[in-house]
Amino acid sequence: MSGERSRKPKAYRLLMHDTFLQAYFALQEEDTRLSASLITQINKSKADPTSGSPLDDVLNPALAGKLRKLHVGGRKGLRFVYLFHAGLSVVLPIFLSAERKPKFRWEQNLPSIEVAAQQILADYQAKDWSKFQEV
Amino acid sequence: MGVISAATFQRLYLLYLIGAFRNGVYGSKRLHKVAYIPARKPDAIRPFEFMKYLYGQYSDTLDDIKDQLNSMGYIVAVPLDTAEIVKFKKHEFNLGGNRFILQGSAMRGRHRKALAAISLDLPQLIDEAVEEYGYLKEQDLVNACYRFPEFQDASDGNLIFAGNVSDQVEIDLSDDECADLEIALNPVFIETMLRLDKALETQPIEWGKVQKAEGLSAPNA
Repeated sequence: MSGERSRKPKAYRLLMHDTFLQAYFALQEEDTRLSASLITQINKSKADPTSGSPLDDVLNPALAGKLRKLHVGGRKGLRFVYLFHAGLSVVLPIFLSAERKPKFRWEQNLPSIEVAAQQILADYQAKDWSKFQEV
Repeated sequence: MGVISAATFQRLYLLYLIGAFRNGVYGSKRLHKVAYIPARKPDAIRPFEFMKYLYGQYSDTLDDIKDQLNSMGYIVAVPLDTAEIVKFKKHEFNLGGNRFILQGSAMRGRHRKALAAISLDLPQLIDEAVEEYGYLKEQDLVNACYRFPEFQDASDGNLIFAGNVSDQVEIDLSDDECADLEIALNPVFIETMLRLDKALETQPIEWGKVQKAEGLSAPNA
C-alpha cells in the first residue's frame, strides 16, 4: 500500500448506499459541524482512499489495506469505515458510528455494523442501483 | 481502559494460540487439547468451556470460533495426509483431518499486546502450553490429557470447566484499538466485505443507473 501513496492519485468514484446517506442526513440534523467534518472526510476518502488508516487486524490478504477508517470531528468524534478497490477506482462508505467516542460502544453495536454491511451487499448483488448514489 | 466483546476475545485468543505453533496446528484434536492446558490453572481466564468426550477435552465454542476464523480467511485449513475416520460402535469419528495455519502472522505481536492488555501473563501461558504440549505425538498428548485428575473425575459427556468470561471484557487498550479489534474480528462483517469486494470485481457498477447525490455537498471532490 505504501507504494500507492507515491503515485499520482487516481480519480476515484464514490458509491454511497442509502444506509450511509441516511446516517449522514441524521447527523446533519443533529450536528452541523460533525456533518461538515464527515463531508470533508468523504471527500478525503474519494480523493485518496489510502489516506484513511487501514484496519490493522484484518488478516485476510484479499482485504488487506482495502478496509479503512477516518475520524470524523477529530479523534474523539465518529468513525467512518469504508471499502475501496484500487483496481476499479471505487470507494464505498460502509459505516458511520452513531455517537462520539467513547459513548459509542462498538462491542454493543455490532449488529448495526453487520446489518449495514449486509444491506449494501444485498442491494449491490441485486443490482438495485436505486439504493445507491454517486457522490 | 477499553472494552471488547467476549466473542472478540475468544477469536483473539484462538488466533494467538494457533499462531503460537511454529508450523500450524496439526489436527483439531491437538488444538482443543492445547487450548485446554492454560484453562487448568486455578485462577485461569477461560474463554472456552471444555467437555469430556470420547477423545478427551473438547470445546464446542472453540470449534465454532475456529470455523469463524476459517470463514474469515484468518486461518487456513490444509488437509492432512494422516486424516482418518475411526468407527466406534455405530458412530464415526474424524481424527482431526486438517492443519490450521494462521494468516497474517506479522500481526502476532499486536495480538500478543492485546491479550496482555487483558491479562499480562496470558500470552505467556499460551506460549508455554504450546511449547510443552503442542508438539507431542498425538497419542502422547491424548494420554497426558487423560491423566489430568479433573478429567478423570468428570463423567463422560459432562462439563470439565465452564467458560468464565463476561460478555464485555475489560482491556487496557484505547477505544480506537478496541474498535479495530471488534470490526476486524467480526466474522459477519468480514465475510460480507469479502463478498462485496468480490462482487465489485465480478459485477460492474452500472454507473449510468446510479443517481448523483443531492443534498450532500462534496465541493472538493
